[in-house]
Amino acid sequence: MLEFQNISKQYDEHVVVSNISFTVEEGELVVLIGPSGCGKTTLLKMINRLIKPTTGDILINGQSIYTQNEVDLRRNIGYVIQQTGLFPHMTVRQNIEIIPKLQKTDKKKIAEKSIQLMEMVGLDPDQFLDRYPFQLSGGQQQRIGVARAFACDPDIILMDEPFSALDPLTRSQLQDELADLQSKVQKTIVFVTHDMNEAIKIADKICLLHEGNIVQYDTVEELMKNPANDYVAGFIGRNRIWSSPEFIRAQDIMITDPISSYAQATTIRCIEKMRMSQVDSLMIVDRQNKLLGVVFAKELQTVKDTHKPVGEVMQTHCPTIPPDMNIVEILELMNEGNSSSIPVVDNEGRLLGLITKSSLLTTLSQQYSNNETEETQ
Amino acid sequence: MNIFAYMAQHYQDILFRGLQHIQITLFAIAIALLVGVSVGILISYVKPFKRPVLGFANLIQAIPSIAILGFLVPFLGIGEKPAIFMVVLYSLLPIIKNTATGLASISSETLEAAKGIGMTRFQILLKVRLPLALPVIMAGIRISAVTSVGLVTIAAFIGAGGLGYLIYAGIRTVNTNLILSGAIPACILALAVDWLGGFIEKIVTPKCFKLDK
Repeated sequence: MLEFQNISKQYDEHVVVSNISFTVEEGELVVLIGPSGCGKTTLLKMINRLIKPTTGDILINGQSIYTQNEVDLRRNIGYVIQQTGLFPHMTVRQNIEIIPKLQKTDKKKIAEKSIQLMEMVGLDPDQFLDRYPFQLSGGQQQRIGVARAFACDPDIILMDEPFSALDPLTRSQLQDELADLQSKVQKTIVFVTHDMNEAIKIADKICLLHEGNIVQYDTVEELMKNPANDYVAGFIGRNRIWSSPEFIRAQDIMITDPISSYAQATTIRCIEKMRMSQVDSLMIVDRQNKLLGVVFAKELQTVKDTHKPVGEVMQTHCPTIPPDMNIVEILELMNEGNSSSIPVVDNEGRLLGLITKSSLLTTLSQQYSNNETEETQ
Repeated sequence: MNIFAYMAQHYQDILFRGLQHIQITLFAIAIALLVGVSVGILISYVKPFKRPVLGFANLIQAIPSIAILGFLVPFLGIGEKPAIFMVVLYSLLPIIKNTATGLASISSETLEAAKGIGMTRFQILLKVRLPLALPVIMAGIRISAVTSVGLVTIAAFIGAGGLGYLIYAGIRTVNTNLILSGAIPACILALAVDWLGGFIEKIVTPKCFKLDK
C-alpha cells in the first residue's frame, strides 16, 4: 500500500503540488493524469525519492520512505521511463541484470531470471539478450525497460509516460500487454500519462490532477459517469464513455418511473392509463413493487371483458435484466428477444425501471447530439 | 653526406635519444592522465571548482613552454624532472576539459534512470558516466599525447635529453644532418603516438557509438 500524506512541492514561489493526499491499494494500477505542469511526474518521482517534497510524507506499507536507505528503496521499486531509460553502451542482458549484479545475486539465478523476464515481455531471449538497445525498435526497447523494472521483483512499479514516444499501433499493443501482464502479476503500479485513452485502457483508478491539486481520484467507471466537475468532464471528453460502452449500465439509461399498475386493476383502466401516459406497455407489480408481469396495449385491446383484472391477461414470462447489465448486452438481448421494452429489476424482483427501444435510441443519439462540446484532451 | 647514411651511421645514438624521448613522454602522459581524469571527474561533481580549475589550465596553455621551463629550473633544477613537470602541465587542459565535457554530455534521462533504478553515485560514475564519456576523454588524451612528443623536444634545452638533444646540438654546430636525425624520428614518433591513440580510442569506444556509423 502506497500512501501520500499532505504532499506539497514548491520551487521558490511556484507551487507544483499542493497538499495532496491519496492512497494506492496493493495490486492496483493507478494512473496519474493531467495536462503538462499539473505535477503528475513530480508526484511519481517523489515515490522513489528522485524529488523531495517540501512538506508531507509518503508511506509504503505504513513505513515512511524517508526512514529507508535511498538506494535500497529504489531497488525495491521498478522504474520505467520514456525512451532513453536504457543504457546505450550495455546489451539488453547487461541492462536487465545491472541491479541484480550490483546486489551480488547468484549468477545462475540472474541468468534464469533474465530469460524469464524476456519471455514475460514477449521477446525471444536467444535473439535479443545480446543486442544493444539501438539495435531494437522503440517498442522492443520499451519492453526491455519493463523487463528491467521487474528484475528485482519489486512490489511497486513506477512508469513515467513509458509509451508516449511510440507509434500508435505499438503503443496500443503495449498497453494491452501491460493490462494483461498486470492481471497476472498484480503489482502496485503508478503510471503517469497525459493520454486519457491510455488511462482508460489500463487503469484501475485514475487520479486526475490539475495545477497541483487532485481534481478527482476514482475508478475509471466513476470518473466517466460522474465527473466531479466540468474540468474533469472536459478532460475526459464528454462522449468518451462511448468508446467504452461496457461502462454504460441499465441503471444509467433506464426510465426510472415506468408506468405500472396492480394486478387487480381492470383492463379498461389499464388501457386508459396507457393512453393517458402515452405508453404501449404497462408494468404489473404487487404492493411491494415486485414485478409480476407486463401487459401490452395491443393485447389488452383484444380482451373482450373490459372488467377482467389485468393480472389474468398479463405476460408473466417476460425477460428482465439486472441494473448493472451494460448497454452492449442489453442491445443483444433486445435483438434476440425482439421485445420493445425490458423491465429492470433488482435481485429481489422489485421493479427499478424500464428500458424501451425508444429510451435506448435517446441514449444512443446523445453521443451525436453533444458532439460540439467535444474534445478537450 | 646523405641524411639516411648519416642516420644509419649514428643509429645507436638516435635510438638512445629516441628511447629517452619515449620514456619521458610516457611518464608525463601517465601522470597527466591520472591527474587530469581525476580533476576532470572532481570538477564535474563539485561545480564551484569547474571555472577556476579550467581557468588555471587555460592560463598555463597560454604561457610559452620555454618560459615555463625557465620558471621551473630554479625550483626543480635541470634534467628530466622539470621536463616531465612541464609536459604534465601542458597535457592537463585537454584531458581535464574532455573528461568534464564527456561526463557532462550524458543525457539527463539516462542518469535519472540510473539513479531511479537504485545505483549509487559511484556506481553511476563507474558503470554509466565513464564508459559513455570514454571516447571523448580518450580524444583529449590523444591530443595531449601528440603535443607531449613535441614538448619533450624542447625539454632538451634544460638537459632532459631526448630527440631534442640531437636537434639542439645540430643547430649549434650547424649540422643539418644532425638536426634532421632528431627531427625526423620526432615526427615519426608523434605520428605513431597519434595512431596508437586512435587505436586505443577505437577499443574503448562502446559498441553503441561504433555501430551507429
